[in-house]
Amino acid sequence: MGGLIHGLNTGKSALLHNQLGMNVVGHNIANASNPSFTRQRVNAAPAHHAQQGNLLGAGIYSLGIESARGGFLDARVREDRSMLGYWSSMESSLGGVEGILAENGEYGLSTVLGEFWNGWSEVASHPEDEAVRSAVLSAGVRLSSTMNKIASDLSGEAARIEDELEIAVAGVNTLASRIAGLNAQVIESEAGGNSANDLRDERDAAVDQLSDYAGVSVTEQENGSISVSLGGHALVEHDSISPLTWSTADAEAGTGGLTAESGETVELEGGTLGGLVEMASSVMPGLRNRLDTLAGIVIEQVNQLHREGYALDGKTTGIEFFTGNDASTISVSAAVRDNPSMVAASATGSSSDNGIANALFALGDNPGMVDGLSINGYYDSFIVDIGMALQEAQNQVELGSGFVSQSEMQRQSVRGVNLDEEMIDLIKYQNAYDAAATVISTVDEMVQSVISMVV
Amino acid sequence: MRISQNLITDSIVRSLHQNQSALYTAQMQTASGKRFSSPSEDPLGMSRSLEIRRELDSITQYMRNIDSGTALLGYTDSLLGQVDGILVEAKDIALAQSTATADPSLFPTIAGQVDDLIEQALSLFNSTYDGRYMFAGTAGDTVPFTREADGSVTYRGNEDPMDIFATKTLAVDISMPGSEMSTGAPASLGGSPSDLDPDIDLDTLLDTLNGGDGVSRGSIKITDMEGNEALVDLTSTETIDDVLEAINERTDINVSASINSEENGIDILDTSLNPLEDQNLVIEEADGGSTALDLGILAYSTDGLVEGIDIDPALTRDTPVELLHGGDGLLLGRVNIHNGDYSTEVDFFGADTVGDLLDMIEGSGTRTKAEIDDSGNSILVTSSLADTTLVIADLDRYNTGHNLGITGTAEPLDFFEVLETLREGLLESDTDKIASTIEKLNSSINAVTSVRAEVGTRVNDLELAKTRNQDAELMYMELLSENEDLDYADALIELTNAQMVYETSLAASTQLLGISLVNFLR
Repeated sequence: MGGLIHGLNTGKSALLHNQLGMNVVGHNIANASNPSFTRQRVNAAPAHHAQQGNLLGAGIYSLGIESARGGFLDARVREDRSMLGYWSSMESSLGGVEGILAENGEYGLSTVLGEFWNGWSEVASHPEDEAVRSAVLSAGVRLSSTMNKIASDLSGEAARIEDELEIAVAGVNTLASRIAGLNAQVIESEAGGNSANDLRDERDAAVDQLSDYAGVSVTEQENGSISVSLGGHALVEHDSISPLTWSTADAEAGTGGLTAESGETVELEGGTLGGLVEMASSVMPGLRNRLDTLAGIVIEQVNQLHREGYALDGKTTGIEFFTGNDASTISVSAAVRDNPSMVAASATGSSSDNGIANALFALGDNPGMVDGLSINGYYDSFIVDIGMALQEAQNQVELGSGFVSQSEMQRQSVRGVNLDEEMIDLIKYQNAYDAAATVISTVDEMVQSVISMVV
Repeated sequence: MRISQNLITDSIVRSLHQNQSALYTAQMQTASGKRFSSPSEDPLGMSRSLEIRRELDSITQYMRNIDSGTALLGYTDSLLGQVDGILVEAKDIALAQSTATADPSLFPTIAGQVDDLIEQALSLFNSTYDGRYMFAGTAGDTVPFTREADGSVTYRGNEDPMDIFATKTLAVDISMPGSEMSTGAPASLGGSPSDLDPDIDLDTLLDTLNGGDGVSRGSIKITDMEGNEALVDLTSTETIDDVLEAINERTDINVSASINSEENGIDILDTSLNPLEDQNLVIEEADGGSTALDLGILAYSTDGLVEGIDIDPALTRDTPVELLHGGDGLLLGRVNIHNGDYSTEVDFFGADTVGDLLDMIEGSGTRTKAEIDDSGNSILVTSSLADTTLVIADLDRYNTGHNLGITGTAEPLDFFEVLETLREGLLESDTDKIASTIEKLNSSINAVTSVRAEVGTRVNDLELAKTRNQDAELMYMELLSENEDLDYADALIELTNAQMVYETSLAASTQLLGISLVNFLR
């Protein structure tokens, strides 16, 4: 038989437990809008006293505070986030490239190129008209300066991507340090056997953020720390990190790129950082290469015809129309720029002959100039490919954000705070607390009765 | 499913975002009127647009080319008209001064007039357009004609073409080298008045009849001697055979049509068994046209036979050789063609049609052009070289060349030389010399006329190309519009829809966000 004091103790355990419960509810409510928070619950078990072979209830004792985690859901969310991160960075970079080409069908390089070819037909109609020759020269200047501008804008975009890369690498390293630090704190806090729920939440949030940068794989160790690796590279082990570095990639020399401290190249799977690396090391050089090919073929073919032709004087021949060899260096040659009469329209030397002008007019549509396409066709395919790549990225972003919100929803469904639920818990704990208080005051009255009996 | 507070807000934000973005896209499309404005929105559509716009820009350029070509050719024609006037004036002088009544004392004055004419012609031929000498071929910076001290005129231009593109595939030569009509009207043999007078046969095309003017197709009315009347519809006939059949297959009239014995017209014979008295065989027009007239059978007959008149078929490349010379045909033998440095023998043996004969001459490698001349009755052989003497002679007793009317010797024509001869004739009071220029001046006038005809042909080519370009432009505009323009009905429905969806989700969100158990406690 337990005495009255036992009843007081039972009531006390109930008061304490319900107080703890209300504190946890309060914590949950406070964090209701914190997306990285995992709702907590107080686990409890009834307390017993073994007395004369019977188990006598002695109230309740709290086992600890537990988080409603769903480990595999975390992995899914992170996988989806890194895919989304990859396509988002592709989308934004390719969007920049599309903007640079400013090709909406009415302006842009296509129009300038068309004006240049048509200019030659105008010269063919008026081979001895200085104004018309000047017009084709300024069309040539417009063409070369447009190409120069696109080339320099592409370089600017490439530099911007490099900057972003630097920032992203720094971001990855900072997150890695934070995870390593939290690893140490978790180990320390959990040494006593308690679960460091809030520290784990913070660590999970850091890994989530890291998964935006690149695909991560996470392994939990027995001591409560996690190991994080990016594309096979062990980024965080226990409380130490192996940071990444970025240096401008040089595909020809095989140097640069994303490397670990060991100097080993790190291949990422997805993530914004993965997307930026792809843009910087493959997509941007590819685009630049195609633009340079286009400029190169324009320079080569126009010059080849132009050299065959004769200037207005009927004698000067072998004149270059363009100088340079790629999109950044193409320019109307000094020989013709300020001398419209040096424009070689004549194929025979006769001043009104327009053989070269007509040939240059037809040049844009001549098939089989580059990759089996005409010059105009090559440019079209350039635009189509950029458009397709961007369209693919946009679709993937749309799809990916669907996936992310789906998996995030599932995860939130398990770990998020529901205020209604918390209110009900609150009432539950409040009522239980009130009831326990009543028990204590009743026992107190009983004790008073006993005392007054004695007195 | 368990719902958390974050889940509610996240999904609201996400759906609002989506609906807003759909609304934005719909608004952008409606505002711009385009289905897409950047390559990523429709890469293939954009590529199509780029291509179409390039075509449209080219067409604009073609139209500019055509306009400037037409202007130049128009100016060329007006200058040639003035040259023609000068030649006509010179011819009038030659005609007037070669008669016995001419007054030799006036010759020096008139020689002065001729001198003025030469100078005028020179200045016309040395006209410039667009900063270039327009009659110098492609040597636009060279004065094409200069008059030497001895009175002769030298051509310093060339004969190269100056092509401009009137469509993607049609290049039109807009230059008319002065050599073509002045110093080097090339030598030619044959042509009218020699008439090869081909007969008709069943396959003769109606279009070749009447010297190539053809037959206007309509209906004719035939009344036979029994008084039966029939309207014969000839609108869809092509050959003589078609006409004969159309008439002969009519069973409601008793007539029979055939080619006449001279093989140059159509005979219509009345076959009535019981002819009425005073009833003639009558053939007349049924629709006020000229079908019967053109077929040479607009007539009536008291004795039952309408004899068609000679309907004079023109030569065509398909005319059989045996029908030439009123059906006598001609014997095919050998001729020699000599043109400047080129000389060869041509054997006409084995030729079936006029086309075969022409091909044999052109294929002889003597730089000659053989064609049916404008009269449609004779063959004209012209040197393709500006300044060669052309000689054609028969080599055997078949006299094929003579019978084709192409034998003889022809000198290239230089009208400045002719004018100079006229001037000299006047100065020397040599009326024979003056008279000798009349025929040559005629030829010169013809040469200028034929060049003007060529100018006209090119202007027509350009006009035709202009129409084609306008059609193409319209087509491309439609394609472009189809490709990139918005279907406003669809777009507006979509816009309204997107707006409604957005508003609904906003309303739903406010409702949803306000609900909580907290509000119901206490």
